[in-house]
Order: sequence, then structure tokens, then C-alpha cells
Amino acid sequence: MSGQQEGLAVAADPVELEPPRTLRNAGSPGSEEGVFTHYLRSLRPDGEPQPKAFDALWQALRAAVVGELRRRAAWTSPPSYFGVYGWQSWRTHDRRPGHTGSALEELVTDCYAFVFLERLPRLRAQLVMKPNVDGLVILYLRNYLHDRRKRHDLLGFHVFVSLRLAVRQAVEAGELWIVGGDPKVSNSTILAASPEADHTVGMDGEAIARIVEGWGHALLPELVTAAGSRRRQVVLRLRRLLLDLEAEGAPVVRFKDLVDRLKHCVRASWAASFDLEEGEAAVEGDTPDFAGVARLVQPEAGVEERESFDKLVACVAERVERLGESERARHYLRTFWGFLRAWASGEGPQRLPSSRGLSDLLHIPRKRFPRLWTTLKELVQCCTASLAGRPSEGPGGTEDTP
Amino acid sequence: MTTRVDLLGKTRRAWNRSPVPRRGAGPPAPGDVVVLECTACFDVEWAVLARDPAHPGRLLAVAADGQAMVGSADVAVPASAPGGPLVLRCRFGGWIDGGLIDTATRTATLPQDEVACARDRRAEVERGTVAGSILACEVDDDPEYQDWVAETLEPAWLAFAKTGPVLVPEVDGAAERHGRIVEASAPAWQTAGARSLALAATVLLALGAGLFWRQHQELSDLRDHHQVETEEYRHEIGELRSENGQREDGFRRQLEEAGNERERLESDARLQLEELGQQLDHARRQTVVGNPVALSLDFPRGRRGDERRVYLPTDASHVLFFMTLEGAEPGQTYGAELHDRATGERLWAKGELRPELRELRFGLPRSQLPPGEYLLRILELADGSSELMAEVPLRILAPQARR
Repeated sequence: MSGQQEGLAVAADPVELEPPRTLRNAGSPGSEEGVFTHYLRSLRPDGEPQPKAFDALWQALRAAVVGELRRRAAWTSPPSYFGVYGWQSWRTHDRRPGHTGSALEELVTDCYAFVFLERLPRLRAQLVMKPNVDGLVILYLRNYLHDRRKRHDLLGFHVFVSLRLAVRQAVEAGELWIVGGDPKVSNSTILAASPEADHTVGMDGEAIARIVEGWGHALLPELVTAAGSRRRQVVLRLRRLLLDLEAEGAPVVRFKDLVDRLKHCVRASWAASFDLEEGEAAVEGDTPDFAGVARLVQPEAGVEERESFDKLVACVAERVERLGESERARHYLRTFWGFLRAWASGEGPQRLPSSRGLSDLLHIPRKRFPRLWTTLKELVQCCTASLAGRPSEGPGGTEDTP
Repeated sequence: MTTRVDLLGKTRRAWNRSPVPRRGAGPPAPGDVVVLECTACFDVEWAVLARDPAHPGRLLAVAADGQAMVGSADVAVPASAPGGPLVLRCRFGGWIDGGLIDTATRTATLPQDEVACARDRRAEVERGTVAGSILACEVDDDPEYQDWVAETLEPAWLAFAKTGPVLVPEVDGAAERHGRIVEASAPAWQTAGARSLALAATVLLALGAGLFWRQHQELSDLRDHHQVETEEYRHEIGELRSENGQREDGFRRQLEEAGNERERLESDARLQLEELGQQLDHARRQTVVGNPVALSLDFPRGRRGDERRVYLPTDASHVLFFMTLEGAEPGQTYGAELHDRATGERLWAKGELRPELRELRFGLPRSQLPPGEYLLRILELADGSSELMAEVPLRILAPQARR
């Protein structure tokens, strides 16, 4: 969804963006029915929403979205991480006469479409059996924002998920202890190398930055490009690195500090590869063709296109494994495809980096890129044909369906 | 641009498209999506996938929900399909008495191809041969998905399993995680007309006992499996710790090696310093003018002069040359070169000499003039080129040769 939303701004004042303590329907004190449930039940027989109920829902939905963004420490992140482009921050408003849009309004509109339009059959089904479906609405909302961030901030998403998984495994194995904050491991979680550690002492930000910078160098590019079971190996390596925290001078750390520093390090390495202007292009002339195929996911893209892109990504990745190339060549193809996937999801400028930039980031010899590119282009074409139901023969294709 | 009016209109259309839940409208059939009372407190529905050919009253059902995350054992029904969007969680299901669904709410009917796809996936789950796509495996490993499974799907499945004689494979220790044991309890339909069907009841009891025994065995196997996994984990932790210790030892060795290397480098640096000191003394000796020997040379007629023999005393530090130039102009620059007369090799050179009162003056360290035969050349320099002006053969004699 792009552009400005006119007439949706029920209350655009930032002071009203704080999530309310409760989402109970103000109109029915003592009722178990929440604002979202009340809205659904108040829909007229022809499905027309009542204006007052819609306004109340809009405020509650916006507050829930802001609360969720804050919970994910994304309230200060660029809106582009959630596929909302053209705005510097969530608080920025369109000051042009007659326009009332903002990044937040765009996101809330998309959330409404996902929860109250796409998921309406599910909500109606649950309404028959349950007095209150507000919890389900919040779950849908969380799930939607999680998925949206994955699609538009693949770098940050992979770092967060890998680190969170590594920490959970380390905690379960008794290698790390949670001494404060969220026991399910989230931004507020405080981790320690021993259960007796004093988590009230100040944490050394400099030490954490130094440690995590080393991790970034040790884990790239696989931290971003690895897929499937290979990602589990990255998580295992990350878990081993967690063992060094105490020895490196950080016996107590907050999960958010770790993940923020690691994201910063990964983003810096990624951006640096695009900054290397000199040198020949990694691939010649075909970038627009590929962009047409790979950039299927645009901010306005619907569910079907997102699913097509997912299938394309999976199809190419699986065909790479079936190629009769050497393991090293397949490793380079996997890595390059992982990079292109992140690039296609909106990470980095429109053009590809130079071969030098790619070589530095992906640890692939420069002379390999032309052949890798040709192979991947053939795979994309075969998979596109296969997904469209046309017969496809080509590299890695032992069968017609992906 | 999406306006409020647009959203209201879309809501109306979505409402009219979504199916109206129908309570108890006909017997349940494969493709039906229902909400069961026993799991109404969880945000899941149940999709009927198949009817048992041997016992038509029994139905295979799996959990279904509207979350967008699709793991390797799940089947996504797209939004464009009837009943979609919906995700069928094929890992969480089992056979259930169709009578229990009579009172449930049917919320949608899925297309048969989606049902067949889910049935295949369920069969893969039961065989343990699920091989999801790369992206589905990523979802399996996503902590957000794991939370959804642990907090909603597993408890809902346990509640579902308690409703009757449900044939369900245990799900990855879900029962232990939620502090419950799955047992086959007496189904409602068994009490409805069991007295007149004693034989059938006996068979069913035997079957129930068999099932209980099988589940007990499965639980026992799972506990054993869990113990083995725990042992493996402990072993892995031990290995990790051991590896960590080895790495620490390695770092210590590297530090020691670095210390040794540092000592060696310091020693080399000391030697280099001493050598530099000696060179400095030598240079100082060359620079300090102690007992210079002055040598006056006439400008030779016909460019090459006669040989000059020079005796240098042992304590002479430098030789100073004075050569008168005929016709030298102010501002003109000259150069002087010393060559080995036998080999022609240039031994010394100096440029940018300017005559003072038509006299060129320059000096050489004594060390540059050991006894031997030399050729001193004077060059006129102009515009980057040089022109030979004069050559004077020199013979430096050893001090004892004078006696």
C-alpha cells in the first residue's frame, strides 16, 4: 500500500499513539468483549461497519500496532524495514494541504486489511464459539508484522532469529542463564554466563561491541545467505561464540544489546559491498531482467505474488542442490542465491554491487561470477516456467515440477 | 490511495464473501473445517481430511489456523481457494469419532485437492518422511513459530486427544511439556447403547486396551528417546567445553609464541641499532675534517692533463681539490667525477659545483681515495646535459711509498 490515506486519520496526534492499558470496549463496562470483538459483532447484516465502532477499532488497532512495534524495538527503526517506503520515521506526517497520511497510517491500513479482511472468515468462525476474539486479533497482528519484517528486512530478521535460537539452545543446554527480563528470550532478556551473576551491574557496551564485531566477521556471509538446514549450522556456530562472552569481558549482557550490535555489524558489511564502486560489474547487462523476476515482492504485492516468490526461492534453492556441479560450485551458487534473495527483498540499492564488492562480502572469487550468474539465470527461468505450469528442462531439473 | 470509504466497502465485500457458520448442518465430511467445543479456548479449528473405510464413523482431522507461518509439516490453503486462507497443521491431528463433530460448527469447506494434499502430508508425518522446502525448514526453526506450536497447537491437540478414543501419534514430547498424559478415555457414544452391544463393547475394550498398550509403549519409547537425546546433549556440551578448553590452551600457546617472537624481534632490533650506531660513528669520522690535504690542479691544456702523484699522510681526513677554470662564467654549474682508471667505473660524483673567482673547490673523504690510479673528470652542466671539460689522471700513493 503506498501513497497517502485520506480520511483514515481518526487521531493523528502522536500523544495518542501510546498503547492503552486495556483494549476493553469502553462502551460496555465490565464486559468481556474487547474493542475488536465489539467491532466484529457490530457489523450490520450486510457487513457495513458502523462509523463509531470503526473509529474505536481504528484507534485500538493503531495503539496495538505501536505497542507491537515498540515490543519489537522497531519504533525507532526506519519504516522501510516493514515495507513502508518514502518516510523517515513512524512519526513523520504528510504536511501537504489535504493530506493526512503517515508511515504509521499506511502500516495500520495494511494490518487492517490482513486481519479484518483476509482473516475475516477465521474470525467469524471463532466468534460463534468464543465470547472474545481480541486475543486472536493480536496474534494475527503479531504474526503479520513478524512476516512483514522478514520480507523487507531479511538481514535484520536473520540476525534476530539466528541469535534468538542460539540463545534458547544455549539456555536449554545450561551454557547460558537468563537472570532477568523475558524468560522466552526477547529484547528485554538479560543473559549471564552463570546463574549467580549480578545482573544489576552495568554492562560494558564497548566490550559487547568489540566481541560482536568479531562474530560478524566470523559468521558472514552465511548468517545472511544460508538457508534450510545450513542455517542450523550457523546457529550452532553462534551458540559456540556465546560461550566466549564471559572470557571476552561480558559476563552479563542484555539480548537487545547483542542483537543490535550484531545487526549493525552485518548491515555495515553489507552496505560496504555496495559502496565499492570501482571495478567491473559482477554481472553484465542482465540485472534489469533478473530484477523483473526476483523483485516480485513489492510493497503493494498481494498474497499470491508473495507465495510465488517464496516458491521461486525454494525451487531455485532445491535445483541448486541437484546440479551436477562440484560441492564448491554449489556452495558458491547457494551463497550467491542467498545474497540475491536478500537483495530482492529490498536490501541495498537497485543495482548490484561490483564484482569486487560481492567478492569481499560473499568470499567468492571474482572470476566465478559470470558463470554463477548464467547458471542462476537459467535456474530462475526454469523455475518460473515450472511454476507457471509449463514444461521445463534445464539445470537441476530432474522433474517438471519444482 | 486507500480511503476510509474504500476500507468500509472492502469490509462489506469480505463479509459477504465469507461463509456463514452453520451449526450442525448435516454430517461432517472430508473437506469440512469445524470449531470443536473441546478446543474452543484455543485459536484453532479442525479440518476433516478423510473417513476411515473400515469404520465410517471415524474421521481423520488436523488442526487448522489462520497464522501465516507455514512449517514443513503444514499445508497452506491460499486465500483464493474456498475456505482460505488457512494453514493445515498436519502434525497435529488424529482419528476422531464423527459423532463428536455433529455438534460442532462448520466454518468452511475446503476444495478436495487441498484435502488430498493435506492427507498426503499427514501420511508423511506418520511415516516420519516429511521433507519440507528450504523456506519451510526456516519457518520450523523460527522461534516465533515454535512459540505458536508450544503455546497453542500442542495444548489444543492434547485437548483434542482427550475427547475420545483418538488414534494419535505422540508429538515430540508435547504431553510432558504440558504436564499431561494422553490417555484413551471412554467415548461418549460408548455409553449411549453399549448394554445391548456387549460383544461390540468387549471388542472395543480390547481394542482400547490395545491402543492404550500401544500408546504406553510409544510413550516409553519417547522417554527412552528423550533420555538418549539428553545424554547426547550432555555429551555435546562436554565436547563444547572441552573444545573451549582446547581453544584456551591454543590461545595460551599463541600468547607464549607471541612472547618469544617479541623477544626475538627485540634482539634483532638491538643488533640493528648497534649496527646503525657503528655506521653513524663511521659517518661522523668521515664528516669531521681533521687534517685535510689541499691539492691544487691546473686546468689542463688539450682537455687531458698529466698524471698527478699524491702522497696522503695516514692522519689525513679529506682531500681538498682546487682547480682554476679558464673562461668560467658566473652562474655556470660544473660537476666532478672520480673514476677507477683501470676499469672506468665511476667511484664518486658531485654536481652543482659553482666556481668562486674562477676556481672550483670540492673535497673527498680520505676513505674514498685508497692508494691506486684514478681519473678525475670535470664536466660542464647545462640543460640536463653534461660536456667533458677536463680529465686529470691521479695516482694516490701509500704513505710508506714516499720514503
